[in-house]
Amino acid sequence: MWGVLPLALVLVGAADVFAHGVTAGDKGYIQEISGAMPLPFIYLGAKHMVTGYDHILFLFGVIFFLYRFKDIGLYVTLFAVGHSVTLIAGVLMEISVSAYLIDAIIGLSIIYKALDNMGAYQRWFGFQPNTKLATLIFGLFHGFGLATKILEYEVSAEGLVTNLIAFNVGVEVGQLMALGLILIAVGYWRRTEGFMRHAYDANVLLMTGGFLLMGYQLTGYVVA
Amino acid sequence: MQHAPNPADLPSSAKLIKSTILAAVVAAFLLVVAILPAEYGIDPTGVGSVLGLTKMGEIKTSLAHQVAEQNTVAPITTLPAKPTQQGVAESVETVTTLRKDSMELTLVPNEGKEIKLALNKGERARYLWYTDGGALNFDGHSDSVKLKIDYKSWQKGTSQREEGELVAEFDGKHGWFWRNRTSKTVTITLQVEGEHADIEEAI
Repeated sequence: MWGVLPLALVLVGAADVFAHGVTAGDKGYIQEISGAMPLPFIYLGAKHMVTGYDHILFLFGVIFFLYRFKDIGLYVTLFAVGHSVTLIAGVLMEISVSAYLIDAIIGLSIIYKALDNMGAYQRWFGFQPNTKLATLIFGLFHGFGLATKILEYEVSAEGLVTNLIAFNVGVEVGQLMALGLILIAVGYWRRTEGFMRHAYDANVLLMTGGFLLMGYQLTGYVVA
Repeated sequence: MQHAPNPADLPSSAKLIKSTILAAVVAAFLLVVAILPAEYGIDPTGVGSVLGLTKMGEIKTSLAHQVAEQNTVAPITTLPAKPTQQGVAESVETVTTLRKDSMELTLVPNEGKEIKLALNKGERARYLWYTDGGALNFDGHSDSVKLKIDYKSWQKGTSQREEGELVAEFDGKHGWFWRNRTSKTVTITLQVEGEHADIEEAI
């Protein structure tokens, strides 16, 4: 069914047309699929947590002085409950707060925990804020951070709830794996004489990391 | 909140060493059954495919290659899509000549292709496209060099058939990007009738 008018070959120079941009990585993959796909989303949730160094740093701060599995388990659960609630609620209610602001607060959570470990609140205020409550509350903010990233992925509405829950399960799996690695590393360290001597300095480093993250995210908020 | 650990609470050296070995083994296992499939589509055991992760890795790898190509290939060229052109002049109410085009695109698995119509603001084109089989991911979108609009999507989905009327929001190029995520080669037939000045396949 070729036309009556043959068309001459036209080669148009640069920038006459934008070809369709391709998004790479996890976001690119997510935008290509739809429907409930629990296993891939469990994987993505775990990957997200394991590579989410801001979440990991906070977790590290939380367990820094926790030695018994019972205590570690309790605090990690509090953190998990906090971030799970806001992860799911945040995505389903499409709570769109700036990712930069949330990530800045996550940076703040690291600063907070480091100072807590350094005994700063007792020193400055003569008062020790409830550590369990703080873990839970900051967990809520970490969850909002996770939710904003998931919203950026533009997950298809089809199968969203299943995929979201699977992602959350993945986050917990990733958290446990990261925790395991942290505990092994810290387990070696704590047996050395240097641990208590260096504990304070390590938390100063942790706090520096928190400030770096916070500054980086706040800059992004202002500049972007 | 500093308190030194009670030595009784600390793991023994033997326990730590066992844990380290276990961690390495678990990591190797996960790498082979989950991570290499999900990131690179490499699946030595076949477990990745069962979990649906190898497909994820294949998609991510093909997207990464395309992004790399995008960044190295320049300039962007457009070829006429060898459409059929027939002038239509019979309308009593209007004096404008509507242009009719019809074309076929073939997409092998994982391939993406794009067709754009040149339309000025307010101009319209009726369209119909359908596949000879699988459902394709599509992204109906527009761009404009003149107005510095990079990408504006107006319809995204997965479908075997779509029809409607395109009304250009601004002077520029308006059309569709299709991606074949099925396992078979798919042919799309696109038919348009409208006020567009040109129709081309974007590369």
